Amino acid sequence: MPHPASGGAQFLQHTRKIIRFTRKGCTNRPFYHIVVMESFRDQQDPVIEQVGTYDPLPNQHNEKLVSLNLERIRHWVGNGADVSTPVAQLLGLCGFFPIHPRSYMTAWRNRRAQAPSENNSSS
Amino acid sequence: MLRQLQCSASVRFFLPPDIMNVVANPVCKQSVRWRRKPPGTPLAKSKLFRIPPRPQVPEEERIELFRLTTNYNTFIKSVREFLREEVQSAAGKEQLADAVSMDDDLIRCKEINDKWNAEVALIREKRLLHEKEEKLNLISKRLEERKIRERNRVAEINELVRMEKEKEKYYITSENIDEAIENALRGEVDYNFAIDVKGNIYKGEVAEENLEKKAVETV
Repeated sequence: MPHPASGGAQFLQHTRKIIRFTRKGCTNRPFYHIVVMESFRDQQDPVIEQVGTYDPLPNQHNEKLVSLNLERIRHWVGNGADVSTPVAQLLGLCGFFPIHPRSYMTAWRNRRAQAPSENNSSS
Repeated sequence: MLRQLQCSASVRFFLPPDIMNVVANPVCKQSVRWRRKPPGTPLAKSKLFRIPPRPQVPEEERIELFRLTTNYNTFIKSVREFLREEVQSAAGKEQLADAVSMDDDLIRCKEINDKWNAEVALIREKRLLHEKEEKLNLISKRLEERKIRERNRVAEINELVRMEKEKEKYYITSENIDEAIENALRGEVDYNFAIDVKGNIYKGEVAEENLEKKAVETV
């Protein structure tokens, strides 16, 4: 029997499936599994399938590590599964989906936030 | 834990029982230690009348976001459609291949099965023959035994009849009944006697000195 965190949950055929994060890790140390679930399920319920991981804390090389099982994501999206916004952002950044508008927005807001401090430091 | 239980209770309303088992089964649950306020706690007094500020999105940013979102939705729609077709065609191909391989498999299985059946039929024929022979033997043996039994029984009966015929001359019939009565009346039997270990009988009511010599009759 697979571990409940990595898949094997029972599900109904015609319910809405969604690819989304489930928070693993512990206090002050977020770590996310990218999973396929029925959308009405609780975050910590058994999942249908795990299709990736995401570590939001940058490592020593300043990288946020993501792993994706693109073959299975293709399969699930092709079978009509929805994708939550944060996962869609990740998929956009990795080139699987178009870049999500929220990524653009975050980028320009970050740029805008950075601009005055640079101006201050230069002046 | 409380939160999970509440969730299970709300799910119970519309799920079939086999799924309920997974949801309610604590083995499949991974509890998360949230270290937060319990879910039932009311709004804090200090936050009771706080009105959170509405996000201020500049007009040009809003227009830009709208444009981007619309584009994104269009792209995503086409991507999803593409993936859907891909999955469906793959499933169709797989089904076809499955069907062909299933037929081949079936034919192969049937050949093997026929071969096994022929082998088993040979063995079975031999076994049935053997069993038939054994059964016939058993029946003939039983018949023989029965004959012997019958013969013995008839012999026993004949012996009984012969003995009865021998005894016949001592029977009391209507011809000799008077004589028999006379005999019975004449022949007195005295049962008032003693008997020792060797079977000697001592008649008379009083004990006498030399018993050995007085033995008159042995049983």
